[in-house]
Amino acid sequence: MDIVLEMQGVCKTFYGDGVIVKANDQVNFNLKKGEIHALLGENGAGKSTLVGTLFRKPDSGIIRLNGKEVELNDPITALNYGLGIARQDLTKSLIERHTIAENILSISKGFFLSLTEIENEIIKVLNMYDLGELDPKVRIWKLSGGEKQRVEILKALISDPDILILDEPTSMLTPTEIDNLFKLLNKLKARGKSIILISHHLEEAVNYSDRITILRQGKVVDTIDTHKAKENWKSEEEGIRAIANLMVGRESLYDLYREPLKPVNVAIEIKGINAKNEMGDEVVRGVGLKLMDNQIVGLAGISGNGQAELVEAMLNLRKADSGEVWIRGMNITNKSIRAIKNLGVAYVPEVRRKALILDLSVRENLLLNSYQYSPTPMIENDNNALITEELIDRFNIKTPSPLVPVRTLSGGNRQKVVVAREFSVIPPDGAGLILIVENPTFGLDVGTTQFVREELLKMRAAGAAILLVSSDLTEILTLSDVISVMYKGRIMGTVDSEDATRENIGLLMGGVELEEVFS
Amino acid sequence: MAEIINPVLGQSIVAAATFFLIPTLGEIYTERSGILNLGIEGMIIASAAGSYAITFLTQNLWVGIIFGIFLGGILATIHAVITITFNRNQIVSGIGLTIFGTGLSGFLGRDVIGKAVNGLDKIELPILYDLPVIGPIFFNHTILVYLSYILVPVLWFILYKTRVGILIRTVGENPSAAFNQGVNVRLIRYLCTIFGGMCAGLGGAYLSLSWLNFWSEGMTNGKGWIVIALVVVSLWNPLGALFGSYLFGSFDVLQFSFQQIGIDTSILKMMPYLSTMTFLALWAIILSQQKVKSIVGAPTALATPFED
Repeated sequence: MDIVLEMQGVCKTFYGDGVIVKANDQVNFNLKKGEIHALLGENGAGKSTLVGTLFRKPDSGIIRLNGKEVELNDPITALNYGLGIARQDLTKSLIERHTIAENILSISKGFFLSLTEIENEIIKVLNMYDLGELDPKVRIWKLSGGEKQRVEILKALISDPDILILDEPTSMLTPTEIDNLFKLLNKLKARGKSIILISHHLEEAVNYSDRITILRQGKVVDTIDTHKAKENWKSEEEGIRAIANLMVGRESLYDLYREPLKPVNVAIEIKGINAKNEMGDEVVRGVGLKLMDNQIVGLAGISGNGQAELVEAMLNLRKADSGEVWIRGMNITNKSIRAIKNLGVAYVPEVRRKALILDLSVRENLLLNSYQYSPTPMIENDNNALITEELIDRFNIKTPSPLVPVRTLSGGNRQKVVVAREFSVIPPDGAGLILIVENPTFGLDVGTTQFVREELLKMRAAGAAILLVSSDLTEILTLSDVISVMYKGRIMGTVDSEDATRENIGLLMGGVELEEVFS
Repeated sequence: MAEIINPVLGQSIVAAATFFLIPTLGEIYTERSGILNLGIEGMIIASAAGSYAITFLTQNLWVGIIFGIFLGGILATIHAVITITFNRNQIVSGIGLTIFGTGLSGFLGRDVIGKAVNGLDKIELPILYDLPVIGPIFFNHTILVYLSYILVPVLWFILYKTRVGILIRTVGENPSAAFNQGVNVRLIRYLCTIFGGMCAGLGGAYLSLSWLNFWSEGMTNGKGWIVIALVVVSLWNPLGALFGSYLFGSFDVLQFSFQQIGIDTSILKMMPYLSTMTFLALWAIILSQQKVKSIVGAPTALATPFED
């Protein structure tokens, strides 16, 4: 097969916050005509940076397209050479206030803008590739996360590129939509297009790619032929594990053991909660949940189906229009967040900015919960230093000193700071901790992910009642005792973990009724 | 109402409104591209002095007017270099520009204070002037007023119906998205900022050569700042600018009518600024609604530098 894209000795360095990051270090990569080439690696391994150098030239290195050396200085040159990209960060890619048609500029020509022409083209491409229904006249802010992701893919496809780059295209799609996407990719492949796929879902790479290149700390670890490798792997799991080990560089994934525990006490119960989002739309509709000590309840669902609003309504960070929240037999509806947290409630929000003050030190961030318990108005530094050292040690936070600002830490270590603070909350009167965690491993590397999950299981064994809100199905399935699935603001069904499979939870996440799934 | 229909009063409202309208149209384009230029007041007053002085020297009105436009463009270029090329704070740069422009106006106009120059003549438009009521109000003005009538629909059309327009709006909403699709973000921001400066310059020339036809130091009375508020009131839309400018033009003129009732003049002089604040407060309440915000409102990337 011909090589359409060849990258040789690509280097890219970022300077910032006093650290120098070699995001790409002498990377060699090639793409054959008509293949799906998966690019894998942990967060910060340099995947997005590598494809980014195709749209902004690298610090050094050679890029050849069809054997000819080219200089791709800016996105427009790359577009003209037939490269299309669907980016990961949609906030930097889509304009919320504009319609879908207005977002797609690459095919508009001339002085006058014929939106009708673009709209027709959009519908043509949607039909051609079976991308599903999208109304070109709808504004982006009205779309769900999955729909936005489809718009981004459409934007890349519409200029009919020879090389299509998809950066985490499936993070907000339902399992059915993911299936459709890969059918589409196979169709493109058959038409001679070449595809670079970046994903952190390793099973997608194992199942659909032709070759896999693995990056670690900016360097290429290995490029493997998926079809050949599959003959050696006994199962999908073994393949995933082999790749994960290459990504991390050591044996990293081992099975988490969830010891059987019998939950007795009801820790928190919510009844018929309704809540609105900022737009004033009702996004939580009559949700009821029950959480017991020694139990992890997984709240599954594609992000944006009301999970965030539900948690906020539970903690009175958002007004609940109706419904009640009971903690250990006490009605805490509309009590202040302080009063709720004093009952032994800990909260790890998905958005880390909401949990950390980036310019304060690691120590100050670790103590945010405890200042109010200080007996004097003064800060007791000796005692604080002791507590902090202990937490840094126990949660293995990598920081040069407890006094450096949290801003200087990596994403994984920032999350460890939050986890350390919240997991060490001590509930009153020896009661079990109530722990609410939202996508606790989002954006973390394999090692930290494993660490956080282990800690969750340890907390469970220690008697905590845990609500795990996650859009990562693997995480939900490995950790939860009971799984509730949320779709468009309501609970589609609650399934015991023994009965739950990737398939049936996936269907519920896509809005299929419980009776149909289990019939 | 009878007073507004009074042709003389109506005419002076149109004349006052045009002074607000032309710079507002320019600043709308600037802000739509994501650049906030608080130097409007400085550009207007410098151009008012500059164009008056040049006209006095050359005895040619058009050379003066073109100089005014040119000067506004040059001053805006300073702002553009600071904020677009060097990504510096737009608010500080804009305020600096106003202070500089005010000083420059004193320098340019020092020899022509109290000197008379023949300003632009009013032209009665044939046929249109004979229309009942509106004819004498709208169609007995200088050519710059007629130009503003044309600018409003043309600039609206460009912003909403052409490729250039959507590029400008995209750059102001999300410069990274625009850049990723191959748009030259900096170029568009430069052009829009300079266009805004040229409009402010034209507004200055209109002030000293058409509307009031004299030059005295500090003659804008800080009215240039009202333009900044007008851009908000007009919801960043050229058609809205028409509405806002005429509304504020009315406040500006009608204050003199209240004098007859016996309200103190110093209170009346506060009217335009007081109404500005009232409107901004009103708009702030409406625009803070999330649902409204996702449809209209300040360009999302307004006043944020673009670092690619």
